[in-house]
Amino acid sequence: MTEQRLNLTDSSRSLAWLLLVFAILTALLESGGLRVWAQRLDIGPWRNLSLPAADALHTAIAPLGIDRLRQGALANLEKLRHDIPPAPAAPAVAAAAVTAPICPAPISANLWTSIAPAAATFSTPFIATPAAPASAQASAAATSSSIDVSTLSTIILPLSTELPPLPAKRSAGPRVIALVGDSMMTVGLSADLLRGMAGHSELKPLRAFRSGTGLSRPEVFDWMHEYPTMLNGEQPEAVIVAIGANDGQGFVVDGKVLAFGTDEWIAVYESRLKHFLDMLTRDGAQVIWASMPPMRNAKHNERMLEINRIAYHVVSQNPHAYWWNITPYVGDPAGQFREFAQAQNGSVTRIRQPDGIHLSDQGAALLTPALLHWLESSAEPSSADIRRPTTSVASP
Amino acid sequence: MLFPTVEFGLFFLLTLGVAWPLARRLAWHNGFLLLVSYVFYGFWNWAYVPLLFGLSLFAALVAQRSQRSTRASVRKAWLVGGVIVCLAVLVYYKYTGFVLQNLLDLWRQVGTPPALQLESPLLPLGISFFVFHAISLLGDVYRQKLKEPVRIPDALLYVAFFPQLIAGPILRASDFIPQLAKSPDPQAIFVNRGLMLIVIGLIKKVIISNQLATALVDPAFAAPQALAGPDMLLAVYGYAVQIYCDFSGYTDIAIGCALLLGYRFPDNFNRPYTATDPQDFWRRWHISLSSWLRDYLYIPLGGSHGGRWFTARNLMITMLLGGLWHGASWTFVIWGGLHGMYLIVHRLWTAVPGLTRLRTSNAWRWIARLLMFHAVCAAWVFFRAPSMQQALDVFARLAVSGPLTLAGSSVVALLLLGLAGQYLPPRWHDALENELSRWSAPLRGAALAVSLFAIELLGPSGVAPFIYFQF
Repeated sequence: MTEQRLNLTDSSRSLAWLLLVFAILTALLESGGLRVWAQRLDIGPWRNLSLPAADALHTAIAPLGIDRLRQGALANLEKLRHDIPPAPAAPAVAAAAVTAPICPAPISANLWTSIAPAAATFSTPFIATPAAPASAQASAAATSSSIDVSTLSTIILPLSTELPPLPAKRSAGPRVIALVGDSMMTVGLSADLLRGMAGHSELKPLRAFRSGTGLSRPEVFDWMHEYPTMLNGEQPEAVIVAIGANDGQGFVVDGKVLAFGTDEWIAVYESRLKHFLDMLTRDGAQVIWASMPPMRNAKHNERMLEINRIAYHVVSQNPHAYWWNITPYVGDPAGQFREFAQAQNGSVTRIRQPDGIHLSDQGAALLTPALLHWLESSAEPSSADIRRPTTSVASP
Repeated sequence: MLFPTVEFGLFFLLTLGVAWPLARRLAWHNGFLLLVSYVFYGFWNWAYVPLLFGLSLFAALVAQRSQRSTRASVRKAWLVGGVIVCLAVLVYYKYTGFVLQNLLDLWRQVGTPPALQLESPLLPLGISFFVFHAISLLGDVYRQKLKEPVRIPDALLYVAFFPQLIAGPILRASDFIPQLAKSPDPQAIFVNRGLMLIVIGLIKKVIISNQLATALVDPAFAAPQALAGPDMLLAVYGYAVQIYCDFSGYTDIAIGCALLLGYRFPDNFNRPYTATDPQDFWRRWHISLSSWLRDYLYIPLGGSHGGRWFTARNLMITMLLGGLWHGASWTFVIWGGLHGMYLIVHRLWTAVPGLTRLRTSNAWRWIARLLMFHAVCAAWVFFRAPSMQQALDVFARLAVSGPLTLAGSSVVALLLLGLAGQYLPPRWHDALENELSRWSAPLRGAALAVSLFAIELLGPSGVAPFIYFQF
């Protein structure tokens, strides 16, 4: 028997009817979802076109109450998901039970040099020095509480970064460490840090990172709202942050589009960043704010430089937070993007993902020893001081 | 543009709405599909549309030249030249960094390599797939499998056709270009089959694959040192289900979209985890790639027309290169090498005399199925792990005793659902399609809307890229 005899095919007219009903019903069922989708679009003509249409649709359908049902169902499902012990917390729990010795990071950071000959200046990443107060950075930053936009571009990002010692543990249990950020934390860095912490029963990592997020578009992902949920009732004593790669874009405030880098944009972004940092440090948590590394794409790199300047300005005013420039670890001698690096034994390894944005695991492994050193530094100030060479380069 | 997004939904509805009214005017219809395919690709990065266009135009021109020649030697010269250029493009974009990195490491063994600032080009999305399409065009023309002269617009559309452009399935020029030579029939569209595939694909991708990735696989593979054996084993099983649901979900949607546009794509998956041996597995997993490798690599190498070692060599070369095709990393090469080894060992096993009765027994079939599944899972560890060290860490953790902490009820349910789907009788699929054919079009439209609504509710927010996009 052929497929046609079983009438398994339709005409294009029948398909059109099917799709018409589908489109009408989807508009009814998903008007709320479509509105959220339109709000999350990148600022531009496509959003300008879609958002009013989605708003109008949502407003027209709202009296039917369908979206309330949808919201209720989503809330219940979300609750159901949270009732189930989330897997992300499990590695931390399991870490306490690990009996095997800690596995070393794949490649020790202090084995690395850059491929370029001049990189010899960076061949010894860690130089122990006497302890410096955490607030020392603040004195190097602008003294005003908000950024003077006209001088923003003149801010020189420090390369000499000493990670201040962590205060003594607040409780008898393992120290809770929150790993926070967008894909700059998710890809590479979080994995390497989690591996590094796996054998340390006194450290309890907490995953609070999410790709595709940032501080510029709270309508896409609201960190102020989501972070407390991500903590799942824990109170981190230390927070490692890597965020900002998605923030080089315009956003809308009170219906007005603010283009990236304009004075208004900078003021709003600075304010959001400050509130976010205040939330991270609210319970006395110590924050290491990792800079954005140099990016391959020149335009993206420029934007990340701007983000770094704003972040440095804000972070360095908070006594519980420290802005950490990672460029000396992953950049070339001139502070620019490099995709591969060479170990002292000569082997060449990819330190960045092929996208030219994220760190590879090996790239993250250049940062992890310093961060682990910092986490282990509690009450041992002499071992906590991690300094980078002070070579000044124009880099993000 | 990802399939499970509003953007793609709108794009596809618009495409359907314009393409079918144009179906009677073939040139306009195909021209429109070519245009929207470039728009689809440009949504990722417009800068690489000229590369896609240039490569497919090059392949089309070489194919035309080759077709015009009556001499086999000339056709062969065009084939070899064309394939070299296509592979050069692939090697440049995908393997430059990998090759230079390894060359420098080799150089280091004998002397001091130069200090180079290495940088590899940005990898164009789907390049492995569209280069293979271009090569398939050249190969099929050389073998005279295309009877009609190749027309440039058809060849361009064959390479760039959006449902298969990013992650396959890999179409044969000899199968697809003849479909482009005539208008799709607006009276015979496999609507039910197409929509069923799209819905099934979305369930696999959005509900099963995404949830398993976020709740189980990603955390476990990120830090295997933190987990004991039971958790690690669950994560390895989880990845086997995740990658199947991710990739087969993508191809289900691709095949469904093509059906709604009036074109037929080959099947790409056929319940691969029910395979009882490696050969059987490769007849069921990524069928379009395995058959491509068989026809364009294994057989030209000599296939099995030689001694045992000759066949083993050809199998191993094919699988190693198949592994490398997936990514510029030694972990992929090892994944391919393991599968090559499985195939060789299986051939040796089948050559052992006197075991026919055992091999055909039901009990053995289930044992073999279990063995094959675990062999595939072991190879997936190398496929998933970002480095050799991490893959070895995963295996090391399997031997560590400890509690099972990752087995939330939803995780286990999804894992079992993904595996159970492999054992659903195909007749259920046919029965559902038959049942739907009795429903009116508006009723089916309503069912589709409710299905997508349910998928949206059940899936996690945000859509992760398909795993095979990176290849």
